Amino acid sequence: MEKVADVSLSSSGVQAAKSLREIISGNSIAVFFAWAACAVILLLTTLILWMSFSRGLPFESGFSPDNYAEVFGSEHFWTVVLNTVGVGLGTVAISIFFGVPLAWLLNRTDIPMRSLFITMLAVTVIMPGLVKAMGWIMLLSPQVGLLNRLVMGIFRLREAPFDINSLWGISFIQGLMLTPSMFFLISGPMRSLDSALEEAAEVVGANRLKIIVWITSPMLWPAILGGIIYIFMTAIAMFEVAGLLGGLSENRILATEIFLAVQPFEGSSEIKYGVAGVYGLLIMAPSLFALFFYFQSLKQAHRYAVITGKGYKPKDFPLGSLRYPAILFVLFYLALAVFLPFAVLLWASLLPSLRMPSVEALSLVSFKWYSEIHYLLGGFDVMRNTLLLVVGSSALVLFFSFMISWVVVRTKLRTRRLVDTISMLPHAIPGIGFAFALLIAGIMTAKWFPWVPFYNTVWIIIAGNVLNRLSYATRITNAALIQVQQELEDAALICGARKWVSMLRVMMPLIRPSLVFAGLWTALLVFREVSMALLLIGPKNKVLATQLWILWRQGDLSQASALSIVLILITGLLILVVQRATGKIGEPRSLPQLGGGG
Amino acid sequence: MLRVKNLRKSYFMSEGAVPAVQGISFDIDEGVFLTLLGPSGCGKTTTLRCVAGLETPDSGEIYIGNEPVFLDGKGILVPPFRRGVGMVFQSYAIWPHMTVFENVAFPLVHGGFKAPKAQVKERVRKALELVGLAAQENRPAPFLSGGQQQRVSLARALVYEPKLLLLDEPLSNLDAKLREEMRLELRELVKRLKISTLYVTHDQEEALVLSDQIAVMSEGHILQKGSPREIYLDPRHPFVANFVGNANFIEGFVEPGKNGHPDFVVGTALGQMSCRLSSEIAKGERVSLVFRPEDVVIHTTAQSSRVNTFPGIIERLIFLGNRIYCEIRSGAFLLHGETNARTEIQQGANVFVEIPADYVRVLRAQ
Repeated sequence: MEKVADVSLSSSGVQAAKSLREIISGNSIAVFFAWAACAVILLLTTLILWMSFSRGLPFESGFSPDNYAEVFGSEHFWTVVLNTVGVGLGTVAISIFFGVPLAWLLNRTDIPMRSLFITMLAVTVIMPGLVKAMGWIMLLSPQVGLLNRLVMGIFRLREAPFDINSLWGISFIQGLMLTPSMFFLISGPMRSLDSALEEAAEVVGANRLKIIVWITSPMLWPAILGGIIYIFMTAIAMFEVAGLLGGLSENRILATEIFLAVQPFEGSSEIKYGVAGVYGLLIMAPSLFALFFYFQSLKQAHRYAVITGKGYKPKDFPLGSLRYPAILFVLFYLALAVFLPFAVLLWASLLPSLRMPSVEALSLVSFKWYSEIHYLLGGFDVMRNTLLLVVGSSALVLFFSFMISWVVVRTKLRTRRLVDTISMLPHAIPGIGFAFALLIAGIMTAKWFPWVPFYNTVWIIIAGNVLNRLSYATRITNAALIQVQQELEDAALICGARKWVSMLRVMMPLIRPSLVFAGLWTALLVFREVSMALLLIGPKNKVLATQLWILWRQGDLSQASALSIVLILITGLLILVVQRATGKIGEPRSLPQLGGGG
Repeated sequence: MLRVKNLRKSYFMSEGAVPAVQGISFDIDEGVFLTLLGPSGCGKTTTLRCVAGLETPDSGEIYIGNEPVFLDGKGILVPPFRRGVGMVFQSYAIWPHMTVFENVAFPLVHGGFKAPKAQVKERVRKALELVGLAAQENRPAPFLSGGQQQRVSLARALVYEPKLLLLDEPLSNLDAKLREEMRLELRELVKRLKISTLYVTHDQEEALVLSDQIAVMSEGHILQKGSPREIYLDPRHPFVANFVGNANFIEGFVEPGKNGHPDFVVGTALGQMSCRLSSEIAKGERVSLVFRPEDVVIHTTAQSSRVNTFPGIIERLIFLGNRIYCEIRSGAFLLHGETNARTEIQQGANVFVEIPADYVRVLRAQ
């Protein structure tokens, strides 16, 4: 009966000398890839810093402060900074205006159809920011905006009352986009707030308004502050809305300046990588600072969070007759964020050119653009690129986040804290910053190692997306791996399985639902990501999202609308898959970063 | 089969190094069932995990069979998947995404004990039969009860016929009745397979029922190793006496015997007690006397002629069903005793307690 064990034991004796290395090698796969990811993050971050001191490519020109002189000396500099801050604050204001009341209504009151509304909020991600902006331009642009024309017609105005092409417009659209993020960021604390604290105030005679003002709000303040910082960070790094609305030359903000500096075909005459580096740093610096405060406020939030033990159930605030205005408020947000832009895009996509609805317009309705969808999609190459982008990015994000989480959660290495921190960096560094660094890396590769297929391939966009989504996916895999008991892994080792076998056969299947969720969600956000892609595309690596941008910039509003509708349908399909596969949409835990993909 | 020498292991916490195992040594001979018994935090599980290879000791030597699996001096450290031991975990560690069959087959299919496909089925069935679960083969693991998971875990550990079986508090998550059943079953199984076993528990009764040998641990040290009988009847350390069963402790000094007694007596708070002294304890030495409550004889009438008999008052009576537990005050000393459940005694009654000299252990005071 001891035959089998004998064999394995005697072999262990022979190879005993090697075995110390072997026990490390069990984790070494994970350590290797985790550090590879971290190294890339650090290298690219350093590259941004380097570029800001360099007039040309790294290694080719010395360090000089000229870029800083140029940026700070520019006549536009203070306008750009003030615009950026303005857009950040405006976005925050809009997302608070909608997000905070929505969070309260849908978490702490007896509003009807609550879970349906929460799901719908989550699903607003169906409409990428770029598409939302396009819809709103068609509604509120001074020239063609349908709403403007409607109001002008009703009140017999000579000038359009709204101008979406303004800082207000940018803030408005970004605010609508980021409202779900705000909502989900404060929903958790909102739910875990013990209603006994509110009841205590009620008992001592405070009325409802006073309770909200003096009890509920102050206790939620840390969570709201965390939300504000997060939204601000995301807002100032967002490129596509400002790029679309300002046409790059009006309403200049830091994110559009980066773009202008490196993509000369969009207007400017010469490529200034160093200047873009300075702008990149300028976006990063407050983000890093904000990230620090974000963590601080999260810590604070724990101090405030009052959760009682068993049997605790938050009491719903009875809305009474106020529930009709409450429902209207929720519908108002959904209309602004989804229904209206969707409707106008649909309308535009059915017409040869945009016009007000009328009997005459109705007679022009056709599916002409949809029949040309192959042309709109940009042909086979774009489709193939997009597929590769979505599948490749999700797979790589999953792989690296699993490896990082393995090191962070399931080893006792001293460096694991460091790995954890570095893997959080992409959270603070805007995607456009990474995209810029990748662009430089890509140019350097093309120059010195032309045989490496990176620059002007879809892989450079994949790299950007992987870095950008890594932090979020790592949070999910961390949480999943923590929940798996150590003994389940130990048991596999005892059964004679090597470390990687136990990873593959035991650990990965055990956290499969989380992996599926993280993978599909990544796919969704990568599919609609456009800021980074725009910076990284060349003639050979166009993807669907950039195709849409190009169509719009060419002035084909109707064609762009048709493509948007197709994009929305594909996104919707993906969401359905996520929902089917995991049932997780609408869970607050899973959606802290909805708008974060931009 | 297993030899552990001078094993040391510390954990690094934020407060610094916390020693868990402080230089312990023991052997398990072929087919012997050894239990590491001790309270939580005594280092018993750490020792087991070091043997399994799941923890790396700081220093010491571990041999499984005659093969070294850990030698600090020579840098030998065999990873767990090469040690060929079977192990049952406290939480059972049954993989919830697999069926019973897949769980048990894992070592033969994916593990280091690969067997031809045709054999796998046969061997899994045999292992499941051993633990009485042959009918449950295709059930998903999460649908099993605690006791069944326990059996699957055992089958998985036995399916590759390891030389050494490691059991980490395997019964502690079962309810009391089931625990007793499993205890006997486990004993039968291990005896039948003649498999060398290292068992870890904090439950003294479990240790007494199952083991050939018990090593009592406290604070990273083995205090005493011996057969269950030795451990219980002849504890060499106050901690052992107190941890395994209940015990009365009384301190005193060795005095010369009187009235024709050949041995020395010990002067205690109860009075002079005669007992058997080992030769290494000298006159005048401070000692601890240890005796079990069940060895105390409680008389309701005066017993003038007997030795080690002291008057006392019943302070508390607890009826335990199969016996009565008494706390008896004799002078300044509170003494624990037991008596037959049918004995007619009341609280506050005057009694005489007799402590038979043969049942008193004399330990050097710590």
